Amino acid sequence: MNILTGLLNGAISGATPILLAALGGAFTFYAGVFNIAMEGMMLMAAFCAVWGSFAFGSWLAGVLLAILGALALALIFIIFAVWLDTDEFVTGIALNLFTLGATTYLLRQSFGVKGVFAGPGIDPIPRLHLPLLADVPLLGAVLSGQNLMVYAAALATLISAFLVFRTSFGLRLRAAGYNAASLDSSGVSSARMRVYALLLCGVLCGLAGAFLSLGYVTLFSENMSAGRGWISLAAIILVNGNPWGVAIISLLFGFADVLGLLLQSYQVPSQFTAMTPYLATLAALYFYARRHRKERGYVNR
Amino acid sequence: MYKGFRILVSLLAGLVLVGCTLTPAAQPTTEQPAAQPKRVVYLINGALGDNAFYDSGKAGIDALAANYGVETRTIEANFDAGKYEPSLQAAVNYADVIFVISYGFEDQLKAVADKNPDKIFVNLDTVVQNSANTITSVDFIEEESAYLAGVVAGMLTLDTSVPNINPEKIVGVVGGDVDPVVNSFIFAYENGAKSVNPEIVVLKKSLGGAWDDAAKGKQAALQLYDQGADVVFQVAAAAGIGVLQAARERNLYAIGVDTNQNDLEPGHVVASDIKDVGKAIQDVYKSIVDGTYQPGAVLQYGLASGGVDLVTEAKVKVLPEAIEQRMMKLRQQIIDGTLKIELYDGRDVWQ
Repeated sequence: MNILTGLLNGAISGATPILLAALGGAFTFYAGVFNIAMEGMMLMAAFCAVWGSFAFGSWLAGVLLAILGALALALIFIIFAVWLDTDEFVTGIALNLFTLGATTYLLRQSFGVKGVFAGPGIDPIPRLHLPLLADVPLLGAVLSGQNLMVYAAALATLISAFLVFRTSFGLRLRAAGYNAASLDSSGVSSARMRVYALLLCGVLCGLAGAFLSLGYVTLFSENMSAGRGWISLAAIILVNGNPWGVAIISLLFGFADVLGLLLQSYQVPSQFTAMTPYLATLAALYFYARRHRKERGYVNR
Repeated sequence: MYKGFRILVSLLAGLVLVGCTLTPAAQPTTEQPAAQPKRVVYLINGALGDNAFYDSGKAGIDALAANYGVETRTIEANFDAGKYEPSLQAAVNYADVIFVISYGFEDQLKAVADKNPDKIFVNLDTVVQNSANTITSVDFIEEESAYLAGVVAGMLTLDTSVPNINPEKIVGVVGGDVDPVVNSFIFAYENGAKSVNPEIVVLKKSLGGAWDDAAKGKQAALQLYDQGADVVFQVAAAAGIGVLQAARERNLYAIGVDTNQNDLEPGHVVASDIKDVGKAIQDVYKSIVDGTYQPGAVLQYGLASGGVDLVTEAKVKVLPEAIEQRMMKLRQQIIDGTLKIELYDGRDVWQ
């Protein structure tokens, strides 16, 4: 594979878990839930995916268990933050820290190993070869042959954008975040919308985690989400949750990550290249904020 | 309430008095040198479960318990600076012999060792010397095995009869971070590859400290393969398993590290550069029992003493016989001392 194709494929692989988690977080963002638990949901899903795939010998079982694992965390979030009305930020932190400990413990209990669990017994999510797209010149090697979950992420972006902007569900979802009291007074429970948003977030973070441990690599290692949930949170906040914007920012992060590794081949110190994703964040934040400021300026005039 | 407090105070005072009278009596027994240590502690800066370095040391400690009947305890500091010194103190209170991995916490070790000259401290993997000179250091000569890894990689990239090997003379290495231990691996690996053919280029990627990010490790290796490397050496702990998976994905080759990883991705891991901490622990303990133990010594564990090695045994063998034989010949020369491997001198190996 040539370097450019490899780079684009790397960017797509890097972007996929961030995109899936960020789409989940976008639903809660619109519903007015300050949800920072994507990191934990992704990590739990990554563990459950490997466990399911290894125990049942099928990647499909892994993906299903990953979704269930992330949904379990979403349910805890719902019980505390929606039903008991605790602080969302504290709940999220607690869930993230709990998951880090719980997955480490479960790793030792179920496989008797610490650190990493890898091996031929884990069934990975297959790659999808699209016969027509593969023949497209130049882009064929990028468009076809990606992991199934990459196409799922693209589809999820489409569906999320449709749900949020083109359905009555989306309207109610946004209303729950924009003005919960007026939604409640119109006969739709805003708490119920928050519950739906969190459940959707659980499903999408489940897919993100499954891609991480059964698609990107085929193994589970402690803390393997490695901050991707936090980056997805940054992506959501940067574009105010817009699914198309989330997709672009995720790709940008993915690209910055592989670019950082590539720059090492051109005498750029690795300590500097490790900063590229965060420099990209700052740059994106700057351009977004400048545009935002301009818009506000027109309103004021 | 007040009465109860008075009773408590007098009880405490009594205890202190009893303690004072008892201590001198107990003194002579502790000063006598114990011929056979009773308790051993294995204190590590990280956590067990790396399937490599720390676990290999644990295997050595378990062997001590089985062979000598000593009580052993393992304390994991989990890279928590706040936990390291209390752990060290607990180890001193409990054990006679303390095997310790102190990388990053050398000063704490020196301070505690100076205060406890009657305890035996064996520092693993780095050289630490305290002012009382009681710490014995076990230093592994990573360069010897990494050099052989370089030789294997260099010969493999030239052998285009092996499936998927390209004509380009490029090999790669992925390091977990830029630190002296990783640098010495890379330094010797490059020397080994260039000893085969000076035209061989060694491409390097660092993960910038992301030792647990297997996805990043895989990404780094994929880039190296796309840049023309056929063999990638991983020096990246858990993240390095991603390197081995990248080799399978590109249908190319990788070299494992720390333990025998040749069967993790069958047919794609041609060799593993191993470090046997457990053997070093057993050797040092034996010298303590024999009475030949020298406090403050620096023990070098290279190929000759079995502290490091390059292993090629695998279920699915892809390494050509000729390469393996040449490697074994050089290995023997290093053991005999006829081939001297240049040690890492602190230079910048990342270009």
